[in-house]
Amino acid sequence: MGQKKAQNELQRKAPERGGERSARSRETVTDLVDLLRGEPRWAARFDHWHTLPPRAAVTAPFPTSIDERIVALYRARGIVEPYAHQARFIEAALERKDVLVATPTASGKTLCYTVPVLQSLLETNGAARALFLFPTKALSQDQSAGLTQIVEQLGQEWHAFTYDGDTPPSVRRTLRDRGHLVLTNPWMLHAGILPNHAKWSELFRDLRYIVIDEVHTLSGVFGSSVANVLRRLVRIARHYGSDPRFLLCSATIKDGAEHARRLIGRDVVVIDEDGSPSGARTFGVYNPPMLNPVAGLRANALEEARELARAVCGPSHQTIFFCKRRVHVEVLTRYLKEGAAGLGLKPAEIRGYRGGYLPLLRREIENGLRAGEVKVVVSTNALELGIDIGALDVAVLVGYPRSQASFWQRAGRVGRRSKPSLVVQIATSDPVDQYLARHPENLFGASKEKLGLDPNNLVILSEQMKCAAFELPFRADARTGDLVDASFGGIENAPHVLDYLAEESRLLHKRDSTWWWMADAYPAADVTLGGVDPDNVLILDVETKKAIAEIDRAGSIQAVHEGAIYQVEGEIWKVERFDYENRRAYVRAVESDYFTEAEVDVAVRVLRLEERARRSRLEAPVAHPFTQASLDETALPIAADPAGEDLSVWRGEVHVTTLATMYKKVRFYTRESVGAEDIHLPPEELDTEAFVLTLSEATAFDLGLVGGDRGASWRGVGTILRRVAPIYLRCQPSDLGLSAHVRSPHFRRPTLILYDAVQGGVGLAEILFGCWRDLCTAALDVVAHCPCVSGCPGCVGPVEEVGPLGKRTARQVLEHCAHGPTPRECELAADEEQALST
Amino acid sequence: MSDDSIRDRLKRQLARRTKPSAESALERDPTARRSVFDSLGRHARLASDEAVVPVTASAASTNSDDAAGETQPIDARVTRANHAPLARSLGDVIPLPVRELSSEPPRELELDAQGVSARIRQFAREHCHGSKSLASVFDVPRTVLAERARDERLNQVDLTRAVFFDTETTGLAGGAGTYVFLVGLMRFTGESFELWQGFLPHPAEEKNLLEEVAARIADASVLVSFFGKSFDRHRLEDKMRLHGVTPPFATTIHLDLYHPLRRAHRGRFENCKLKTLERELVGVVRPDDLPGSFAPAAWFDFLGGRPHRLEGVFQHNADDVLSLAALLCHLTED
Repeated sequence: MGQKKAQNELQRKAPERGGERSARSRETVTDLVDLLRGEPRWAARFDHWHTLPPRAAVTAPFPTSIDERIVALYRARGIVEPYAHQARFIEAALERKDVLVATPTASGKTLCYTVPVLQSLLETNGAARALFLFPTKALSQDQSAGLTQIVEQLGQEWHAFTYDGDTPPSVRRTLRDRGHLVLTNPWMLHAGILPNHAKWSELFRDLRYIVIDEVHTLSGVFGSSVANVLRRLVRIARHYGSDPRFLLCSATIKDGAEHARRLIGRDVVVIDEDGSPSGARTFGVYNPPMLNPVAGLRANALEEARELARAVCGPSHQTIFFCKRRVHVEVLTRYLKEGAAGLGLKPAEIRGYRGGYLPLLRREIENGLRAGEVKVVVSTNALELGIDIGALDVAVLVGYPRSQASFWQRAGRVGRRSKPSLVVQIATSDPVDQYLARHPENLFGASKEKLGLDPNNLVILSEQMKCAAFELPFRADARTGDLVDASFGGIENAPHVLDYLAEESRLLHKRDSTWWWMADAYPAADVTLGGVDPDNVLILDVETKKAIAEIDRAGSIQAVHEGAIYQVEGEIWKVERFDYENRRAYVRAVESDYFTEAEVDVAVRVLRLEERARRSRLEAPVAHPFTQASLDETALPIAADPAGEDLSVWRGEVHVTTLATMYKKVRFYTRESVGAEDIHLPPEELDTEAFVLTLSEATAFDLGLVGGDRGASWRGVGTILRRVAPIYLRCQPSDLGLSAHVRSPHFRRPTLILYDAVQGGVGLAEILFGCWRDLCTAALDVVAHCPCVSGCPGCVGPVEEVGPLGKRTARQVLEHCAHGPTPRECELAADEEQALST
Repeated sequence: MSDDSIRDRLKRQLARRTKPSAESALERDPTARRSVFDSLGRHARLASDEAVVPVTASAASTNSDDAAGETQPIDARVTRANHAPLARSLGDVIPLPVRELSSEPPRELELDAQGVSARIRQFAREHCHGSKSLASVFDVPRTVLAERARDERLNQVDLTRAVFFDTETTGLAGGAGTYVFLVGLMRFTGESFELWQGFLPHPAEEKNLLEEVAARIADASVLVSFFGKSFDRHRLEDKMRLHGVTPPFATTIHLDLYHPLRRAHRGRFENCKLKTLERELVGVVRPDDLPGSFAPAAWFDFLGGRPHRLEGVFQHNADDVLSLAALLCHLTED
């Protein structure tokens, strides 16, 4: 069996006595790095090594105005002086400024905001209040435990509590009236707290600080909605006489000042020089061996991670594995537990961790990590955010996490003060991973992604102002007509939105320059923020009737369909019944030598077209005739009509269906397929707006969109347009869906569809229809200046994805679209209507 | 952007979110509709803090002779009110008529000394509501009352200073945008029973009304309501806190008849709504009642210049309050 063989191969230090555990008990991270670099078996698989030098701590004293009791508290915890960035943050907060700290994981951001909050409570003898927003329930529970402990150590009677969907209704009232530190999430603030602000009047009466953690997660449609929720929050605080300041924390991001300004509508002090110390950090890029060079098939990254575990796991240090999918977390956890003895570990020292585990189990694992009892943890991005698990020693990233921000967050999980640490990035066969394995400089040198945010997006703004009007009436200056409002006052379109809500939607009643809510409805319940739906599917054991885990709705169709194997830390359950409507999956404990992987299909169907612009081939002769065509005249498939269509753009509505189609049964270890079955679940559906670009067959041919790779190159054009769209739309690429066809069933020619990935849409496609030519110019600029030869993840996609001619073809298409006369608006033709009905 | 183009864009984009597309999930698959409502139900539960059990007196809607009366069960109404489909709500809610606005109070309405609009009616001690005279409230044995209501403080309470109360609101969901637009408070003046119905002629008058209501409730030896502990009290309390008026409830004994009556009669009748209990226990039948569920629309209409249904809401509220006195008497009978 594979395990045995690996064990034999790996005999580096033969145990003298006491077996593997004592043999490895003195191993250091430096030894590990030496082993991986030195031993040929491993060295051959590492394409690249990169080292960051150690960095010494920079500290500064607490500001003198900080209460002696707080200083004593931290001294007792071993912190005599805070890091320089912490001290600067505290100073700015005490000066009543809005502050953002943007530093890596584990640089002590919690201390930054805790100190000013405690100070305000001590100064006011417990009258001050603070509100904390975290992007996940797990984070707020983690922080609430930490704050409670600090308050107890200060000997105060203040209360810190988490207010979310899990808070029992019976205690909510007490918490509302007596909570000094309220920890919640954006959804709860939006739908629970703000519409019921009178119940929270104790919180709002003297609200000093609004703490928002992980603000880099607030981008795109979700972030733009949250920015408006914050406007509503400030407005209500003002109503009760408070003027709270914002204390913001973030991973290192590009242009934090700009992001914060858009998010809270005010200028902030940005602190981004990290004063925390770190040992030398070594990065290794691991590329699994080629199994079949002809097919370009490499060994499976997950199985490679299992192999690598034999080198990087052990009793003397802590190792974290990051997997991209939950099922992979479970499979790897199982492997490692089964092979624990070979690592010199007990199975109990190896844990899985991911969203969906019940809170108590998560707490147990986090505590085990902090205490050093857990030696190995296998996680999804659930441990990417700021949950306190202490600093670990080795991180193994099974697959590139799709963004630079995520990559550095994960890497930031390792590195204690002065000890060296190791980060291994295992490349999967994904083209992006392979590209990065060949061009690792992009991993370490590339700039961080820019975060898009547009709080004044008309649709988001009107939905949010509807909620705001429910909470407090809006007033305008009777003379000027300008809105008089702490939050929405300066927004150009705000009065128009209110008039619209009054006159067209009939939700508001306007009299004497004031708009009053006037409807029997609770608008926040109907307005979504975007982001991950917090409604979960509960997974129940049919025998004990107890919940064993939960899973988000979007992920459920792939993980708990009937017949799925569901795993929690290596224990195996089989799904007997999935009650999709009621969000319950019923499972039974089983023995299984396979796990399941589901496949999902996304289909985009055009429902209605509303606008079109086109140009003819007479107006736009092809700028770069495809040379191959002239070599072989007979290959020209179409008698090109010189006055025929060149290209068209459209605006309309589409219906997007996401359907789990089938699942494969995959045997553990060998990964052989032992069968496949269909999944019977209703599709997840989305009606939304879309921007469409089509080329006529003749133009497509002239531009080189021919041959086997044309689909890939055409998709490359879509990829780059989607990637640069945030420049004009202030969204995230994930807010837009992409569908690319060389011969779409609807238009019967090469078609790109970019759609708003939110039910109903928020107007992104409409903006695209107005600025798509600028977008093509920007995309062309990126492609033209990209140093790669034939495609990379930074432009049209890696060559493995777009083919050898992909970049050249995509560039020709973009040039053609960006140049020449602007297409003219035209009527929708009758045959297009017909195409619709078929 | 010009005003017109903003409006056009809003119209186009928001209409898309309102209008179901040719083959939306809801139309094709009725189970999808349920799951959408499910998820919204969960949001609504998240959102409303106190359990707003939909059995309030003012929301009962059975046995209505009103031709336009809705006869669907109250649970269904709540579903509709709270659970408009996701992102389809703009333009989907009770429309206000676009007319020249008028805030003329309904007839017989007077401004009292504090500037609050109210209608005051006197009922003689002998006035009978169903099978009970109002004065029989004074004969209620307090020890039995305290025992059945499970509140020892009622042993000592002066029933001549009791205040009976019921409210009409613009919705059951609660939250800052729900208005309490009519508050009926009945007390004994030494001569007769006085029913004071404080009315909100416009949202801008809210604080005045609430201050007056708070003062009148603070005077009570005991506040008598039906389901008021779970609903009416919180609507008033929320609004008072919003306007910085000190709520009087914490210092006032509150007798919510719903709980003892339900304990005594659960399972005997089709339900435990006020309408059912008043009919079955004290013989009150309302031939021309305007269901409480019509109250929000009646008030919105009034603000839009069409006060025609408001009279019915005043009458409905008065009947509710009178029934409290009758049911209080019944509660302590054998």
